[in-house]
Amino acid sequence: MKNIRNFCIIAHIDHGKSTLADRLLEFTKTISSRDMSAQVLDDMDLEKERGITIKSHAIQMEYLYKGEKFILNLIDTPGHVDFSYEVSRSIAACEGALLIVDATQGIQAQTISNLYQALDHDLEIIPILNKMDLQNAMPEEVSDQIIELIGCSQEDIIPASGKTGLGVEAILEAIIERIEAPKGDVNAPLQALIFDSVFNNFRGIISYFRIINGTLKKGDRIKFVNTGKDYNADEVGVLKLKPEPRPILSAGDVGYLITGIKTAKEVNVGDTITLLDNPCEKAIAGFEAVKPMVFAGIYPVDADDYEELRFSIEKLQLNDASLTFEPESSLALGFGFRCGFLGLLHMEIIQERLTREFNIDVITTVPNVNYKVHTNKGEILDVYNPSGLPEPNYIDFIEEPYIVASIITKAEYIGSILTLCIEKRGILKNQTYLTCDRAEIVFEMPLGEIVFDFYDKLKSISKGYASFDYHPLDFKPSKLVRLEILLNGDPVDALSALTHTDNAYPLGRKMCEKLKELIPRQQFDIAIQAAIGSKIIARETVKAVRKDVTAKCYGGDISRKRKLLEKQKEGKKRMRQVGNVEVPQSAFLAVLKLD
Amino acid sequence: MSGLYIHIPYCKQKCIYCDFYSSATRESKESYIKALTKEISLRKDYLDKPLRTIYFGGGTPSTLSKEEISLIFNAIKDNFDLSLLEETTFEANPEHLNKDYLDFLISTPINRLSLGTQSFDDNDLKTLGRKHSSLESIEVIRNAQKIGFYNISIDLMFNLPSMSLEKWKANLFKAMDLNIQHISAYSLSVEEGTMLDKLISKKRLNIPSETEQLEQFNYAIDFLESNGFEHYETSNYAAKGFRSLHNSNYWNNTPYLGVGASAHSFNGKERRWNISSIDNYSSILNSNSKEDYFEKEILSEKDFYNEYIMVGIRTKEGLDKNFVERNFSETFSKEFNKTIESLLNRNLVEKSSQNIFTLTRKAIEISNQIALELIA
Repeated sequence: MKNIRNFCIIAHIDHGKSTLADRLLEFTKTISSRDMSAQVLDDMDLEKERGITIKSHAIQMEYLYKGEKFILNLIDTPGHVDFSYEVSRSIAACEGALLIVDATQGIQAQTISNLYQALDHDLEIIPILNKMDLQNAMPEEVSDQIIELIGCSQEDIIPASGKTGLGVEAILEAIIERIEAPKGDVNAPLQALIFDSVFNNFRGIISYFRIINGTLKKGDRIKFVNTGKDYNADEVGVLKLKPEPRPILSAGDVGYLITGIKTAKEVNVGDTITLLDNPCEKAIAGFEAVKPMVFAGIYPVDADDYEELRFSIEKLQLNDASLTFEPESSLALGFGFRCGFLGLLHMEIIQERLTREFNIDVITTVPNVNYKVHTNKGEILDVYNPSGLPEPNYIDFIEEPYIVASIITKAEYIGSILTLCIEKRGILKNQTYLTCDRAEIVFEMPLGEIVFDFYDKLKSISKGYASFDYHPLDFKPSKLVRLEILLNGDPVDALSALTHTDNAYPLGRKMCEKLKELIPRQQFDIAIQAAIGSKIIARETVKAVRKDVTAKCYGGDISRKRKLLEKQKEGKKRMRQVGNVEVPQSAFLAVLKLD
Repeated sequence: MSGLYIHIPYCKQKCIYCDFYSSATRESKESYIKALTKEISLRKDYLDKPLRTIYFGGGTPSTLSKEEISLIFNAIKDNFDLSLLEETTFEANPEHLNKDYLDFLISTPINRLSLGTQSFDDNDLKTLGRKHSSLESIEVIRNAQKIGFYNISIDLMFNLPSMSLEKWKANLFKAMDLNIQHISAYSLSVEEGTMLDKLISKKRLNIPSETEQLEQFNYAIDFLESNGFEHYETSNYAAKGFRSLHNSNYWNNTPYLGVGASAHSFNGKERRWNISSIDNYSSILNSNSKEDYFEKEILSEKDFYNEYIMVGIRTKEGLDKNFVERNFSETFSKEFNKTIESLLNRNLVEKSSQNIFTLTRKAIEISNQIALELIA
């Protein structure tokens, strides 16, 4: 055990985590540069393209240091706020963390919140200044930020470059010298922390774990403490570039477990593995059932794809337990599913994976959070969907979820960011300067306000420099209304949204304007109205087509004009019928991106 | 019966609204005429029915010299039986038709002129980039009539930049004075990428509002009908017995052979179109190359049906329920009957006789929308 080091990496998106990790793998000959497609750790195509880590990963390296062989387990962590619980479990599986900061950009919000989690778990922090090869690196300034933040000394900070390989040896040395070997009792009952799981088409769910106490052998009868279910340990092993089976793993080890479980729901990140016959006394602290934060309807573009969509979502859920879904139907969109996501990025990822991996085009409705509706009778209803809101006269009051948001930005953008947050009903809680031109702003905000268009706006007003992180706070009473959109008097359920009273007017107006752009002219006028209850708050009109006639149609025109007409017909067939109005799919999507 | 179309892709200048493939340079003309006559002989068996019509279109056929026209007619005579030929149309720009040229034309099988008059207002002609004057048009028509052309069609455009209803009326009145037999009255369409399109988007030209456009269109229909012209296709009006036989081929499924760059052909089963590049067309045909100088598509039942709808709905003959039932499978005729029913209810089509459906006046203005509802 004394020759094992378990560590994770804390870094902001684009700060070069994966590239530097790849250098460690190369240097320790875990992989050869020949086998290497850039960024080995991110195996989903989506992860490579977006340059972010969605799932946790783990990989074992061996390194000969001063004549002794060391086992280094690197646990990679997801790099986005939607996945902060997963990050916390990965951190709980380690004794140390590499804090990677981009020397050209400095500390970002995500880094800080993950760093605090790591400090909470008493991890040894090894600060690394990455991208030192770049011209615009600011080592002094960024070092100051790091020293300020974790109270280390200048000498503790390792200059590095994932690109040139600078600092790689120093990092390996620091991992061995500074991070503690795991402590734990090999003879105690088994206690292992599940920090991630992946789905494999042939093997089922593969759980990744770290053994805190005891040993785990192939063939053991094991039990997951929180679900209470028991299984046979069909295979255990360590994670090299490929999984390598081992007969036994013990305290301090990081490895994988295959039990033949078929659905990800049974394997919860944070759960504790123990032995059925000789269970540990208590579960490892910190377990939380994953709760979706953002909800939206997902509908097949082609109604015939409904069953296909169900199959695909089920398949996705096999390796992503944080995705929830239940059937839902909409007058405008037909049959679909109300899905729950960890956050907006998670939602986008699911949507993209449906298209990419399952080849299904979907329409996603306006996302919302879950509301607690207190009725006059004293009941509390969980509402996930605008149409689930009871009639106003049954409602005593409504509560909505709040978050604590932390934004780190260059000082010059503070003004516009404050304005944005206040617009989004944020309450300023704290503002501190990390250095003379970098500040952290802390707000309490309704989560419902950030699921809409907060990220894009924040990025645009800060020219991409502000970083953002949040944690759920609690539920607070709110004045919410259901904003409905009517086309020629018929409500379009798929376009209705729950929103704060103060936002209803501007939102209603913007939605009407956007829809006017997107709904094609038809043979009659189309009234687009926004309403709260029976009160119309905004209106636009799409004027009827009065002239649509081709001037010339001779021998040479026929083929081309027929094809043009057929293309239009195809578009018409794909439109959704609301009353007598045909609505293109783009309309349902575009309301998600209002300016 | 069948038709022959000869494409002459040359113009002396490009009009601002034109998105046709035509060339203003004429260096390649000799080799083009050679290729054209060769194509006529190569494809003499494309149609299995005798020719009833020949049509010289463009571009501008009147850019051809007398000798070139003779070469083409010789090729036609060598390869086709012309004993049933009824109509030979020649499209011409007024400025090309001097007396000598007209005398020549009347000596050929040409018996119908289609003149690109466009407007009788010199400002309009200048804006459009035309090279003739209103007076020239009038003179040419008179001269042609004098020497024996009794079937003359003119093109007129409405919806021109800054055109008022009054100005449009004046153009139509003028046409009635000229004792012509046929009018193609087109709404100016602004095609993407044309000079016209650019000038409008730069606000250098203003086209009439939708309301004005409809007024002009409706006025033309009423005025010409009251003057004895039948409105037999969306943009075409004819005195009794003077419909364009050749163009009617396109609208009633008659086979036609089109020769020349970018010309289209239809033999009852397939549509075929020649490549549009003049140079490539000529060089392939003149070099005995095995390379194809055309593309084609075999029409499916759906294609036939959609074309029948799209073209038929524009004509006075309208859509024939019996024809649909006889020629298409039940899925098409069922859908046809259902949609026609709905269009009848909305007053967009009317029964002009037993089982024949034509557009009502208000639907003529949105005929593409109606076609869209009817096609499969």
